[in-house]
Amino acid sequence: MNDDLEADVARMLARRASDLGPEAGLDPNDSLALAKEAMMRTRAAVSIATAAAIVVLGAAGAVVLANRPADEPGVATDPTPSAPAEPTPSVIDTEPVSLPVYYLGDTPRGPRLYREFRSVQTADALSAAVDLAVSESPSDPDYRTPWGEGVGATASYDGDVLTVDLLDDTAAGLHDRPAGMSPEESAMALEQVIFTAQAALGEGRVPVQFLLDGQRTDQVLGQPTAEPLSNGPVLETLSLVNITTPAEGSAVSGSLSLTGVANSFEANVVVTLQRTGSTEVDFQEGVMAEGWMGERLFPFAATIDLADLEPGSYVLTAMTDDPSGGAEGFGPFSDTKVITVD
Amino acid sequence: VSQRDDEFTAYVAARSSGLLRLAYVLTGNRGDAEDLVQVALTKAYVAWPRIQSEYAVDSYVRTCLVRAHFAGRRRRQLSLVRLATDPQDRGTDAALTAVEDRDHLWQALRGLPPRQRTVIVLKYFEDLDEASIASLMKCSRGTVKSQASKALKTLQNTHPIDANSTTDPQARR
Repeated sequence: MNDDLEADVARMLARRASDLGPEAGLDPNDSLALAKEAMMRTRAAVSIATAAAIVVLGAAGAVVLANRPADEPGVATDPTPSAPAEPTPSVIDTEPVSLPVYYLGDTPRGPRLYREFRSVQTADALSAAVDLAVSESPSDPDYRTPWGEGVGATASYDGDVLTVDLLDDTAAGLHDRPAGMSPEESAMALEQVIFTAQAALGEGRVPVQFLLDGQRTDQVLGQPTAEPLSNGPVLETLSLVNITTPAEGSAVSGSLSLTGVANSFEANVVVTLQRTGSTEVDFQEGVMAEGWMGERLFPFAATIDLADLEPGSYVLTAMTDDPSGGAEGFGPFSDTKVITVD
Repeated sequence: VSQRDDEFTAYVAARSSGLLRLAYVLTGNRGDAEDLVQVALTKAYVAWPRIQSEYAVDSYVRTCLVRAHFAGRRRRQLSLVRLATDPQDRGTDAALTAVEDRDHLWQALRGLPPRQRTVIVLKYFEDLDEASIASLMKCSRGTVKSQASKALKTLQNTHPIDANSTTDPQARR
């Protein structure tokens, strides 16, 4: 019964395509110039956008975080989508969105993932988040991205599988593990992209298929990628403590609103504040996270009174509790933010 | 000028017209179509050394183009590669619009969700089989089939009144 309709559709498409006229096409030299220019300018523009994003992060991040504590897409293991899921990938061009992006940082147990929120203007939050993960330096200088110069990424979701397409413009290529990179680091590089894509999508622990320049590939950085990958175990992949606010470089006055996620012994997170360069601790307090028994990170929050502190630059530290004092195990995980007290 | 640049410009000269038509029926808009083709060509240029045959380039560019369309639609890069089209070219868009407004089937196609429209274009414009569409769109053949049938149902319900139509639109009621 659809035969006529199908023929009509095919004819209509051919007719519309011919509307463009026989001369339609791109000028080859213009196209070449644009292709070369786009590669350069993409990197430059992303840097500018990020600089602007850091300025607005305080405001945009705070709004997002206000309705966030119960809904931590970056750490929840429950795949049930929680409403309202954010950030949604359908934000209009002019609205900056705050995107969760994971980066690598060193911990007593080797490289782990830390999460930052980055504010960008994009209609495709999913692609923007993974692109930030592989192409941008994090705001926190303690973190890093393991992907070299010349890597970009886009991502899409078909309802079952997240697909991350890595755009490879590196000298050595992304197929093999670079000589200077440990297997641990390259495995964590893929986890970084997987966790970022999952968090940006907000649909729980969706498997991720990697592509290299649009094609399926048997490996990325020497890690097998022929099949969609699930994320690594949360407690073996993420840092066990991660400050969400304040962001690195924030200026604060009066009181400081601290939020983060952790999985620490008896839910105790040790928070300290000390002047940059000083060994004297101006403030120390144990903060209770919402839990610690479970394969996930739990939110914590505290308000720190700054009235007694002299203005200046301070280091805010959140640490997991180590009841053995380092005698057993690996020692505490920590996350630090340099802030300015006005 | 490198060998890559020579091969790239030769490819654009030969194929950009066809790519632009595909992008146009996907996006329904000439400006977006030009952007989309350029985005796909840029990706191809980056990956050029790894794409061996001309057939592989075609398939690579088409895949980039379609995925950029239905996944991102307006990726950040698009704003960076907006082509400086001759204003006279843009002028013809007004004439096109007048024709388009009378073409209900075209309007209905433009109103479809991106993935459904993409399936329809790949099936009836590019003449791809379900397996090829499925691999291009990274979904199962079953999904291609169900998206196509959903799309056709929607198109049918718009009563295509079309000068060249071989069927009586009233008969569809």
